[in-house]
Amino acid sequence: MRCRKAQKLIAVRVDRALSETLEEQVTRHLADCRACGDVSAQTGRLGRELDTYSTPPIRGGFTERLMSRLDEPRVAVTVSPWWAAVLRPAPVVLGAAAFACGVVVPLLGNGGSQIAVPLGREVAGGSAGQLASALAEDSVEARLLELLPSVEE
Amino acid sequence: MPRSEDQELLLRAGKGDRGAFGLLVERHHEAVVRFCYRFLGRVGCDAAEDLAQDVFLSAFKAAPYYQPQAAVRTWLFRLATNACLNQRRKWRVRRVIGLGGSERMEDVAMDDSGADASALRNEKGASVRAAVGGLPGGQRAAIVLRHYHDFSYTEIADVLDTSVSAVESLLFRARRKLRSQLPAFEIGNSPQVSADLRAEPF
Ligand SMILES: [Zn+2]
Repeated sequence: MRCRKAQKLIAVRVDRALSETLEEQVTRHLADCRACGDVSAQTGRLGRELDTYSTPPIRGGFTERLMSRLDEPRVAVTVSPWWAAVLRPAPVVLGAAAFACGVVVPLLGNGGSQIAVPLGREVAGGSAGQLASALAEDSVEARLLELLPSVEE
Repeated sequence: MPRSEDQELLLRAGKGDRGAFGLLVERHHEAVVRFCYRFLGRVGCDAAEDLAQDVFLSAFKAAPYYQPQAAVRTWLFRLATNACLNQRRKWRVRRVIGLGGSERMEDVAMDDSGADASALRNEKGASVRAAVGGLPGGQRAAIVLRHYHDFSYTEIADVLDTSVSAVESLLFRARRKLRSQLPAFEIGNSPQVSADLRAEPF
């Protein structure tokens, strides 16, 4: 087994059991390969490091607060009106103009191949159109977001 | 296949049964808040909770369109992932075009006085938090779902609408990046990654 395959399997092995044959092959490779042995040890250690990231306690009353909001009209986000940006200093105006021209769009993405999960997309068998309108947010930002590429950072 | 209790609750919620929806929220809200908290990165618990509220409000609106082939947990976390990605994009748009607004990450970042103080004081936890927050969206979602919510590869693939092999790849890259970011794995302690893996175009 080559290091490339061994290291991929080491990563998978953290999350789920390998087949007996693969487990045996990995174990044999690890016995002979120090680099992959290090990767294996550090992969285990990473799991323990991740465990140190705890979340703060959650306030009580979440469900009650939510239930009282079910009838609220969905005001998406409060944003300054579009003309407020025009009245701001020049760099902002230029930024907005550049954005409108699509200049900013290439700057926003780093070319990485991210998973994008568009909001209006089919969710668990629900029709995309139905969901898109169900979840549509009528806000300036929602429209701006449509202009963004489907990559993040 | 018999429907799960969650599925029954969501179907009833889709027909306007608020009691059923409340039970569903009660079951899943903690997990969704924690997911938002870890996914959003440097924000306080209140911001994560606000977003989780939006996730459930969207879920209530979308409930009539739910089709019970999918697990409710997967369905909810897909909504949560969408919401988190959109939130981060909104912050980014505001930063780039100078709209400002109070939802900028920096403005809602934790301070030492809040409930998050213990997390801040925990230096190790803080560096993990920063490293996870620095991952690209897909990798971040995959590692948070896998490590903190115990989702299987298939479930993660369903949430992210991708293949199981793509999930393997996301997790592999996420872990590699985390190792490169965390102080505990600084150069000198880092393992040699196979040369052909380094060269692999992801
Ligand atoms: Zn090797």
